[in-house]
Amino acid sequence: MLHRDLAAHLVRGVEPERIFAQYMGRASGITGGRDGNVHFGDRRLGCVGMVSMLPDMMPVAAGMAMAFKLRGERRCALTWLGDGATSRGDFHEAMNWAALQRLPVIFVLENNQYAYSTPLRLQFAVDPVERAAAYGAVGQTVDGNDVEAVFAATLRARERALDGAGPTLIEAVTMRMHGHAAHDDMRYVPAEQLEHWRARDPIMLQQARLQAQGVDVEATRNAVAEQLDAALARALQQPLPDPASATEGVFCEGEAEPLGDGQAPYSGYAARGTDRV
Amino acid sequence: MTYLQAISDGLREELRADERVFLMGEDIAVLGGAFKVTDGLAAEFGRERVIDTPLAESAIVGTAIGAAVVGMRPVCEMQFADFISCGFDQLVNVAGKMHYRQRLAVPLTIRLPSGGGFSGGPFHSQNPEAWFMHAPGLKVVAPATASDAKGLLIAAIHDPNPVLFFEHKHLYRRIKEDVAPGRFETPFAARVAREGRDLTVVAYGAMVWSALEATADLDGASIEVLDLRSLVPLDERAILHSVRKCSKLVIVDEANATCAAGAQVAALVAEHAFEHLDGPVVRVATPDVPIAFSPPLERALLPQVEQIKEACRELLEY
Repeated sequence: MLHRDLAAHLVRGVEPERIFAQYMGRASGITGGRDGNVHFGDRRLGCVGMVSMLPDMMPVAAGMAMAFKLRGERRCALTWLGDGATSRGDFHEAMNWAALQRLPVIFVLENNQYAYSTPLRLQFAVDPVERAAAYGAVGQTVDGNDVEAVFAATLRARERALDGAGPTLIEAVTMRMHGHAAHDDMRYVPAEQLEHWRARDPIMLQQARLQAQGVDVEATRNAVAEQLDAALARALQQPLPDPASATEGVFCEGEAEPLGDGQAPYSGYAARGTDRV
Repeated sequence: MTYLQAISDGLREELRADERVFLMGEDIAVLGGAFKVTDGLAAEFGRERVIDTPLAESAIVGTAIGAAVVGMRPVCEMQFADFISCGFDQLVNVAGKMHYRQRLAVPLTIRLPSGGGFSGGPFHSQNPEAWFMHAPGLKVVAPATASDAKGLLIAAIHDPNPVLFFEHKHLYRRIKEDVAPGRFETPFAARVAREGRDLTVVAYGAMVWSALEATADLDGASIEVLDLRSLVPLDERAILHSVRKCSKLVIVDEANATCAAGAQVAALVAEHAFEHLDGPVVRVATPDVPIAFSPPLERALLPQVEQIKEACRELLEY
């Protein structure tokens, strides 16, 4: 259940080639050209694609969690939202609902300082993570630029969820380093704010940590870049969708294909044979 | 069995037969629903499968979508069809577009007590079917008889797509008939409520009964009444077949006239049966006005039997 966190899709096992194809509207993209950019989810991998109305995926994630709970499955749902999405009613309805029913669900709030051009101070008087307690949920702030801190916070939230302790709202504090989209030159962001965050680049931080552990980051980086170049080249060869297929698939005919179990093949955690997230 | 009991019966059959089926809505468990459709179901199936929710229509629809995509068969109750406006976004943007975008089915049923005729006022009387006919990916059905209420509900629950089931409040206790026991499906297709030769009246929901009453004895004319039952998919073949046979068409809508289901029927006939028509397509519908509370005002807005009668008479003489 995903929002803009592209890395999460990769961890779930979405091939980079299909992501490139998705962005270029190719037939082999994850939505086959029916939707663009990060608006996708590979159902076989247990992912439900987001929609543009935010945070619509919060109630949906709560509903998945309801089903897991009803069926007695040791499984939880997770979804992302941004700071902007906390102002809409679905944030309230989902927080209230999930806490009331003590659902195994995790809401990851990427607080990146801006909803398009609107800064936090024009969005709310009370930080959303503080609201969590008012609903009867756990709210936890974490350094959103520290990969391992985010992982640890998510793991704790997941254990709480699986123990029947209800939902967690994780606020990952970070910064949006680019415009809302390609057209946005971000003139509304003060230069010193960007500088402050540039010094806290999450990839640099993690790289330094790995290097201190003796990992050859440069070699990995080169290998990944090579893979990505090859994936992009392949994606560029993929055809655009057939216009004759534009009206197909509005309705499901026949049996419903289920959502995948959400195993994450590229997660070292999953490889250790623990429960799925 | 009344129309209302037939709906309850359909829910009970499905709850018994399929453990994936569960119900949720406002006041449906302890109270048995504002109209008592779910009365006794919580006692029989437990509070885990008959769930009283907070007053949160967007979350009712949204959580049902989430449960549906992981293999459950949720059946939600809107306390009144009018309140679906609060869940509109989840339904139209999340549920309706899910399969097209991701090939992920949303087997979801939403029950919507709709319609006026009892001084419910502007927020408890609406017929918002057409909002959802316009939104891709949603099926829309509206039974007129008790048997169809049960059969269409069961078919909706079995359907792998989101289905909006509009149950007319004014039919709940007024319509009574023998309904077959057990599980049966009514197809999402039209039904000839009365065969005729001279003129077709197309209607659905409560208006089927108004149409039947209005045309029971119309100066000896032979009037066909076609009950649409399903608005999405719309049974175009049945409509065109009836119009080609009778050559005259009156369409009755309890919904506000503009872009209503009847407008779609009129457009269909204009496009595909123009040469078979012996007169203009005539529509009888609620004007584009909120449904007023006070009885004389409400009567002035909703299509009345006399109006349908008059429309048919005029067209027969055309």
